[in-house]
This record gives sequence, structure tokens and C-alpha cells, in this order.
Amino acid sequence: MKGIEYLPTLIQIVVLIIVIAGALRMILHDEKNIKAIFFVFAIVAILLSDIYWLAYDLLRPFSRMPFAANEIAEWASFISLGAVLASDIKAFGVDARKERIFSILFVMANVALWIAWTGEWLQDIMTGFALGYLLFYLMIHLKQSESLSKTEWRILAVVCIALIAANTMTFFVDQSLASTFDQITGMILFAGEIYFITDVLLEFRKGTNPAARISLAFALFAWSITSMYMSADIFYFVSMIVSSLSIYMMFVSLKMEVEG
Amino acid sequence: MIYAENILLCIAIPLVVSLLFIHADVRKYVAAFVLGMGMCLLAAYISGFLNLATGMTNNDSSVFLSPVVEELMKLLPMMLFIVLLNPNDSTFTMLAVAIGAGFSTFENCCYILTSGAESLPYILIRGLAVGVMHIVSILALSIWFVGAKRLKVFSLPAIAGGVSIAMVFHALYNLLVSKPGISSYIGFVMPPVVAGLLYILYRRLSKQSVSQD
Repeated sequence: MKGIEYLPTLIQIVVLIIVIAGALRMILHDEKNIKAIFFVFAIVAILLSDIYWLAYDLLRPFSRMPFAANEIAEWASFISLGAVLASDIKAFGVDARKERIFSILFVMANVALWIAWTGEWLQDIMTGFALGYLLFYLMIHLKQSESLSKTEWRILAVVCIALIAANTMTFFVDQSLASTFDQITGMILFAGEIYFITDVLLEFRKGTNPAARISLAFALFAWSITSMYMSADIFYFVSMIVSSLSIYMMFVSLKMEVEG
Repeated sequence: MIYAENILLCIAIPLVVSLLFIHADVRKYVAAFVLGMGMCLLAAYISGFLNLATGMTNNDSSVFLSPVVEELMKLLPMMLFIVLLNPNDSTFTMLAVAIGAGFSTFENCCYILTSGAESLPYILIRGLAVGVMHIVSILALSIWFVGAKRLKVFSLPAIAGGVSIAMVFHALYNLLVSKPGISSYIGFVMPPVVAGLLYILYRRLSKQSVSQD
């Protein structure tokens, strides 16, 4: 059943092609829409990354990819998506200091875990910078758009700390307990994905706060990426499908704003 | 083993001397062409060093390291032009194409001297695929830069995003042609097809630019 592993990537490629076609139409609607331009750029980067990964796996199966171009494309997509949010943040004066600091610490902890798992210092640190750029602006955007309540912010912080703690524990306990921690991490990440999907859908249904729609769709994407980087096997594939869904939701939220 | 520096000197000297007797855009084109050849040599040095430092095979190096190094080396003179000369859109695109053409010409020269030029079909593939690929990647990057400047979004994310897409395109080509068979045919066809698409886009942008002026 080797072919089934390609299914999430193939689904994502189809979603990306649909989104690129729609986003190009969005640019034609408003040629000077900076958000749409950076968004298309990010999506093209993700598409190239997926095609590269697919070609690599078909041409060189069973060989671990060293420092490769698809990682550069992922960095480009994070930076471009960060630029989409940055161009939407009007007043930088919004007090999101705590959230910004927390996002940087969370990314640093993630980078430490990635390095411990893979031993690939350079690419993990660079990925951390790019993802950190996206999360930094996402925090400001979430705060500015008032997308999350105080309780939700607190829950998010506790969940993030729990994730890092559970993943760290896997290095210090025996194999059977480590796999239990892995399962717990996977379940937490999956629950987070379900929560963000519900939150985005509810915000779409309400339709009163366009900025919150964008914020939450981008938050779902960031969460799915974090989940992909933290998990393996079935949890990874599920997170990739959620990531494809989040890409479509980001597109729809931006399209709704552009077309009023 | 070939002496790449000597080959560069041999090709570049007549071109540099010709700069004294030519003017305007032709002079800029030839200068950028020579610069492109120089960047190719520098990229070969850096790739060679990284190849030894990482212990990768030549094939792995061409798939993983060369696209990153070569696209970065082509980006450097482009950034230099933007910062120092601030050329207009059409001149900038012309300079970018000249860098790409110089880069691929020098790479082809070295390749032919190493591997021979007996097989005409192989030489045609080399010229149409690799040669065109370097022009395509840098042309796409220059069109993106021109667009970003026009929309006033020429910033670090725009530069990083643009160059990384050029790198992935280049890496995808190198990956596809690294194995014989269908994948290599797809790889060989990719640059001319994209060149055709970029030609259409370039014509459209040029017309827009003229109508704006």
C-alpha cells in the first residue's frame, strides 16, 4: 500500500491548483491587492515544494532527503504568509507583547525538538526563523482582530506547554512510555485541529468579523504545520489533509474580504 | 580536469575589450554577460567546496547544493544593479537575461570541454535544457522583482520568496534529469515550455509598461 502515502500530497496539489486559479482571479479583481499577491506567492511555493517532494520520493525512494530545495520553498511560503498578515496589520501599537514573546519561545522549543529528532541543525534553525516570522505576525493579527477570548488564549498557552513537555519527556523515558507520550501528543494536536476548524467555520457562519476569519484560518494553517512537524505516520497524514483544508479556508477568507 | 579560470579569461578578454567600442544597452548587456560568466565560476568554486565539505557525490551535489548556490550567485549581481544603478524595468530585465545567458554559456563551455561535443543530440539537449533553464529562472525572478517594485512590495519577504522559487524550479529540473527515463524527458522539456510562457508574460508586461509611459 505504498501508493496511499502519496494521497495527502496529491490531495494538497489539487487543492493548491484550485486555490492558485481562484487567487489569480482575485488579483485580476484588484491588481494592487498586496495580500493576494503574497498569498499566491506562498501557495506557488507550497505547490513547488509538494511537486519536488513527490518527484524525489518517486525517483529516490527509501533515501533520506538532505538539505533540499523543498525546505527552502516551505520557508518562502511561511515568510510570504507572514507578509500577508503583516500587510493587514494596521496599528502595530496593539499590545500583543506576551503573545509575541510566547510565540518566539514556542518556536525555539520546537526547533530544539526538531534538532533532537533529526540532528539537522541548519535547516531546523532556518525553518524556525521562517515559522517564527509567520507566528509573530499571526499573534499580533489574532490579538488585533480579537479572534480569541482570554480563556482561549490561556488554554492555547497551556496546550502548547503540554505539547512541548510531552515531546521532551519522550527522550527521558523508556520506549513503551515514550510511545504513550507520542500518542498523547498526537491526540492533543488532533484535538487542536478539530477546535480550530470548528472555530473557523463558526466565524465564517457569523460573518461579522472579516479580520477574525483571516486570523483563524491562518491559525489553523500554523497549527496544522506544527502538527505535521511534530508527528509521524497517520497523525502526519491527517495533519497534511487539515493543512490542505486550511489553505482553502485562508483563500476563501481573503477572497471574501477582497470581494466585499 | 579543466582550468576553468583560464577558460573564463580566454572568453572574457575579447568581450571586455569590445566594451570600449560599444555603447548604451549593448555595452550593459555584454558587461552583465561577462559578470554572469564570473558568477558561474564563483558558484563552481563554492559548490566544489561544499561538495568536499559535505562528502556528497557529484550527482547529489547537483541535486541538492548547486541550485541553491547558483541561484544565490545569480541573485547577487541583480541586487547590485538594483541598489547601485536602479535601472528601469526593461533594462533590469535585459541585465538579468544577460547574467543568465553568461552563466549558462560558461557552464556549457566547461561541460563541453570536460565531456566532449561529439553527440549533436546531446549538445542540443544541453543547450536547450540547461542553457535555457538558467535564463528562465533568472528571467522569472526579474519579472517578479519588477512586479514587486511596481506594487511597492519589494521587501525582504519578496526577495526571499522570489529567489527560493527560482531555487526550487532549478532543483526540480536537476532532480528530474538526474535519473534516465521519463523523468529526464519531463525535465528537458520543462525549461523551453516555461521560457515560452515567460515570453508571453514578458511581452504583456512590456506592452503594459509602454502604455503606462
